[in-house]
Amino acid sequence: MFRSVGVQVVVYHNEQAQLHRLAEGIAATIAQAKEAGVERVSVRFGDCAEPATIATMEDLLRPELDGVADNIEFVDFGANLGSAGGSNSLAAGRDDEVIWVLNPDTYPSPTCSVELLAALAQSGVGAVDGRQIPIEHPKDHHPSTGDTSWASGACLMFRREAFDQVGGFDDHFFPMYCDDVDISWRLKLAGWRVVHAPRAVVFHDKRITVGAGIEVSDFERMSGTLARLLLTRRYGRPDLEDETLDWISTDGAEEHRAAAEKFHVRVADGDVPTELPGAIDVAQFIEGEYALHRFRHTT
Amino acid sequence: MSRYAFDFSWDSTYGIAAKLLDETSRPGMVLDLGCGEATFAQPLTELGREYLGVEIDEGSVARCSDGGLDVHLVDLANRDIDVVHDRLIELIAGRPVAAIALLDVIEHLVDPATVFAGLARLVERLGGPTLVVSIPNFTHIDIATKLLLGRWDMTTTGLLDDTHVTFFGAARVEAFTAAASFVEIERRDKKMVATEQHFPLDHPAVSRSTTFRQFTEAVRGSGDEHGDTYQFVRAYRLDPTTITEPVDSTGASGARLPFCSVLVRTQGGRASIDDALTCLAAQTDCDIEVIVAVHSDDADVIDAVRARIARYARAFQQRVVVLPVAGGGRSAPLNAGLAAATGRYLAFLDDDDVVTVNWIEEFRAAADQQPGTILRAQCVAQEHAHTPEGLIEFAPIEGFSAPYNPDFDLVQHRQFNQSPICSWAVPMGAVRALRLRFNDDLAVLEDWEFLVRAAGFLGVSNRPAFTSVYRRFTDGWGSTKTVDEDVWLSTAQAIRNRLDMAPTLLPAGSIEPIARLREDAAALSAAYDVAIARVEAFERSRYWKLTAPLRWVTSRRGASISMIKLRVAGLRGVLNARHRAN
Repeated sequence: MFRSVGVQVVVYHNEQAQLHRLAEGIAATIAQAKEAGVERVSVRFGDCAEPATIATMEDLLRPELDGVADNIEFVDFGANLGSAGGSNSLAAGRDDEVIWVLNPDTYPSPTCSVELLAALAQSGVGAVDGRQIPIEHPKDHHPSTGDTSWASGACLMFRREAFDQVGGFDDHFFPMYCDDVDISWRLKLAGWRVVHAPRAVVFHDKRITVGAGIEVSDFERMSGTLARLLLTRRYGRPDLEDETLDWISTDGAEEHRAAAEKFHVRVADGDVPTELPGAIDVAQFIEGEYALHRFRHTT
Repeated sequence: MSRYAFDFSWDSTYGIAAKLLDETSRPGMVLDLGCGEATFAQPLTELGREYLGVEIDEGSVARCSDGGLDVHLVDLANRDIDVVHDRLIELIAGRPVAAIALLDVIEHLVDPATVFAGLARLVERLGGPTLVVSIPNFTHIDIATKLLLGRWDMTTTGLLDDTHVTFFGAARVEAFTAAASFVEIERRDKKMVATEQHFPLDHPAVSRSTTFRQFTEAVRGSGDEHGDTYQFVRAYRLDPTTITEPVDSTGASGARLPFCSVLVRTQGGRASIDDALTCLAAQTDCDIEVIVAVHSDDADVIDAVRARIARYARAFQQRVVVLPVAGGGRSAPLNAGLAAATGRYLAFLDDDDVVTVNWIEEFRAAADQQPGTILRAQCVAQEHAHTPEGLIEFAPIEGFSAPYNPDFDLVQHRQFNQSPICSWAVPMGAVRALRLRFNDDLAVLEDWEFLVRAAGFLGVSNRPAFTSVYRRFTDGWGSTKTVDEDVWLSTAQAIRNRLDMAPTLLPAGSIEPIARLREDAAALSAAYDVAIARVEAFERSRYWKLTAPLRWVTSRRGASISMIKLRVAGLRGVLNARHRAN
């Protein structure tokens, strides 16, 4: 069992009640981790908003974690670092053996930490994600080992050794999305396993649309499209980059066109991830997704 | 002669009360308070009882005395209760009193609480005789139906006797007697379907043939079992050790109720319960009470569920109650939840279903829109499989589908369910008022039958937001499909038949769509008749006969016109059969 865990949450204009609920959930699950043998747990909230509001929430959140967490920090980044940059910043300069990244709109079940730690303790595993409810992620995993194409950043636990070895998240994936796919594939390139732990239950506040699909905001659609283009660039798939840009020019909505525009600007500025040698061995681009999917939700 | 000089019969209230008194009291004298013309003396004498009556009406007392009965003038309404008691003790003159009768008296006295309290003291002084009462039931269906149509007919005797000054239903009788420390020994309530209120002739409120009366009888029957109780005839013993709350007839309560109780139905063994509980812990609206009904008589299973809950955040744990439920079918934990819930509404979550963060929030929005109705939000279905070889024993195999009508259509719901149990909540005020329970006899579909019954009374406040995921297990693992399909279908038909036996209240706008459907069916049927007639005419034509050899060849390769005709005729037969059934 690992001795120390650093829980970290990057927030950006999140509601106080949402973070309070998350703090309750974190406190309950790290209590279980400590019962299972973890000696030290730190919890860090980092705020990307300008101006940051996390300090005003400290009085509400700290009492939930006091007595369970050994160290609680509230960090004002002073700038919008994005999900990847914020997570790197919270992880930097620490010595926790395990880094646990949680989205601010999640709520881990009590045994989530213990299940994730058990999966992470398996031989060669560098990262593990939890099973999201009520909308389970459709990406496939090996039925008995849990090995999967990538691990979702909504609830993602790393060995620090693995995280540091690949240099953490790539903050080119700004503001959000696909930074988790990218780091998963880079971990695999470095020889680590990436697994899914279905017994590690994490509630993720995703909503269902009228058409029984998943609610996605215009901003999320824009970010997801931009992230896809960046991912194709990194993993040597110019064919998919062209295909995506072609589709945007013919059928894309306004938010897709905005993503293409940003992508072109970033290419012109050289602000895109560099292509990785051997990427083709780990990257999975399957029917528009980054893993084989067991089923499809409508978006 | 007094208006209360009744002829006696053994099946009258007095006859029933006499037998009840005789069977529930020791041998000895009976003290009849407010005895009127002492009609009660006759059966008691026949039963070998010594009789002592007291009455406020001087004429009645005189007539009774003239008839040789031991009846005396006493004003029971006298404010100085000691004076009344002293007088009674004096009249009793040391004889052992076995029972006190208070028949059709309390409703004539302005302060029943004081009367019952005084009776308790008298019973104690007399060494604990049985108390037998008869009290008219003001909540009788005859009064209810007439009042609905604006009639209030006072009469010289009976339920609306014009000398009654206070009124009782079952709950008030129980509250007043309990408040005076009387414990019920036995009840023989007098039933009467057609009371003296059955006038005017053919009034829709009293004629039992009218749809209005049949419907109100069904409604009244939901409230309690006393719609046809004419008089409460009950025997009590005094137990001064019983402690009861003072009678509060206002219905007000100072206790703050959670907005919603959530019943989590589980058999305890499945890991999926953590999904359900985690969804509840993550709700945006935390004004809930969670009742985890563990349907098991295995203490280890119940302890394991408690241990799971003990791992959650303290704030959530404090909202959770574990309710072990032993025995019974699928309805047993649901009914246990109905009995235990303290929330204003009760929602349901089986341990294999999950909900979004705004599940309760949307129910509250529905309650704000139309309080007191069934609250409903949208639900998706997701097919799951049992995966015993996997890292967890269940997994989704398909994306979401939305198979349920987003609108709540009561007529459609009478055909088949469109609202999984995780998609609605029921107001507990209605549950208590209508004595709503899940039907214990049903092996399946208990939630559908309950919903349709409740929605028929209450209506539905419907929200467009999707807030729940109904996990369907096609391989028999989850809570959904544990019986054969034929049991499912036969149960559904039995429920439909039973529901159709009672008059139904439909929401506004329900009939016109049904009428249009029938018109459409009739038009279709007529169109098929025309089509058949044309085919038959064609078959009789000269052209048809001349081309017979050619048809023999072509029929080798495909369907002949005769086959088409047969199919059309078959379809017409089905339509006609349905039309007749309607």
